[in-house]
Amino acid sequence: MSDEFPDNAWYAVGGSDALASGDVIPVHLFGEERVAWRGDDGQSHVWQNRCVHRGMRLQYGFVDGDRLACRYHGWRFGGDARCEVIPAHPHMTPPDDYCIPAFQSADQGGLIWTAAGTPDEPPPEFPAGGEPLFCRTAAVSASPAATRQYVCRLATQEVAPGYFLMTNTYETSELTLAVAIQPSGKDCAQLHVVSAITTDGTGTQALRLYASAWTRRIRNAIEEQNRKEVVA
Amino acid sequence: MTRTTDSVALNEWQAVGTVEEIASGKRRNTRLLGQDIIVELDGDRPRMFETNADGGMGTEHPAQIHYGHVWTTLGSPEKPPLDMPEFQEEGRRLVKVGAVTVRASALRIVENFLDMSHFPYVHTGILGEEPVTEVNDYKIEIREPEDEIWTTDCSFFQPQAAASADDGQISEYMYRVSSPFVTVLYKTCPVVDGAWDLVGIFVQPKDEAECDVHTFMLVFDDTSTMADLVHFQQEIFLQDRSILENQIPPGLPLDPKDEMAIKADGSSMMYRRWLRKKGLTFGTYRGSESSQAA
Repeated sequence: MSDEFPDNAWYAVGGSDALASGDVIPVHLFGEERVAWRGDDGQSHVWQNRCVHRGMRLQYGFVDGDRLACRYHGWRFGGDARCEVIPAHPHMTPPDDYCIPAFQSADQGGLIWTAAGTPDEPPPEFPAGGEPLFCRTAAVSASPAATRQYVCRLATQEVAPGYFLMTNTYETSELTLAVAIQPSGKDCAQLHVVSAITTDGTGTQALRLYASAWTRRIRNAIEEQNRKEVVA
Repeated sequence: MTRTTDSVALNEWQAVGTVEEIASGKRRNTRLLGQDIIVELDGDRPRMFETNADGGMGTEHPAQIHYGHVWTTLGSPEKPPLDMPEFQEEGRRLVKVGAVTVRASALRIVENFLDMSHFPYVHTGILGEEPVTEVNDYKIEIREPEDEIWTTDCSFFQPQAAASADDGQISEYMYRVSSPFVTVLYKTCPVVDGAWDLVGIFVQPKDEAECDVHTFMLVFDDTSTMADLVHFQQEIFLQDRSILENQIPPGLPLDPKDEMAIKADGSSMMYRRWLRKKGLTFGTYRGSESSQAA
């Protein structure tokens, strides 16, 4: 946590489209391990990446309907993070306190958001006009602060901590990008890039290709600058 | 890390490799409880030395051969390695699977070995399968004077209980823990009526969260090739490793408040209590203390 990436704030951890129903992925926030998953009901969840039974990372688990199952012993946890089924004792009702610590989370503006601490506000809305189109995620081998500093220079606005709005020209069109920085750890960050679907007929495939190329360029530039600073 | 000061861990016999892995004239450079060691066979005689700062041989410690493995200790054990009279029985085959490195606490490895409720999820289609997931009641006792944990009357439905099994069967099990680092199971033999097959692990704790695991089987099975038997056990163990290297924290919590348990975890809870009573700390989770498997 820092001034730039405060506690009690929302951070994006991936594109909503990148987490389909049935998917389970590990996510990191300030070095802490979390797991994101989506049930068949379409609801996304972000929990502690650790089963309360024997400490197994839940990222290796599997989705069973609207429940997440731990890979080790098949314990099923419902959307409210409470244990509902313990297969070793199929007739037992699990105690109320057998539940996974869960974090606030929401799908908003093409991204999955999770809370550090307890934010007062809901996650930020998509700041560009029109429909959000999630384009890509890129891991950056640089500190969240260095990543932020670089992205900040290109942005017109910081909508929320680590969430930036910018306008770029692509061929003859003006394109709006929303860029969310996930402060994954001390020396790593993720960039999640969403563009706005334009009304001038630029296809979504073209938008994604453009945003993807842009993201790659920015990532390389941040890492290049970071290498120079480390050497110096 | 450096050698542990945990006298409970130091005063145990530990297996550090098979006789074949430490063939005469070859040295095995390895580690035990944070101490770099050199193990060698001088003819038939096993020897163990601490590794000097310059890589040479330092202080010598006792070494013995039991059950096809070289056992050694950095302390002064009060009792010899466990007694397994089945090794004298005619017709059994000893399968030495060989050392597998696992980045986990020895105690998590032993606890996993005692656990039946993971069979349908970790060893799917081999040692268990949904929907037959129930763990029936079993008995747990500490046997004196050996001070060993025994769980008996265990049973579980298994699609392929052994390399020699053609069909599913209800396997009967007994589990035995003879030291914090040594455990053996006795399991219904699919070939000889009324006989038990033995499968055991001798865990060599190299550091708090890294071990070499030496697995053996002592079975009645005249049809499988040695390669079949080794592959069967290796597949199972590698499935376990994918779990063991992903448990957080790596160290085993001995405080019952740290991890939730159910009735089927009775043997695991007994093992944790037994370790706490011994005063073992190496490989345990000790809250926010520094030098530990956290």
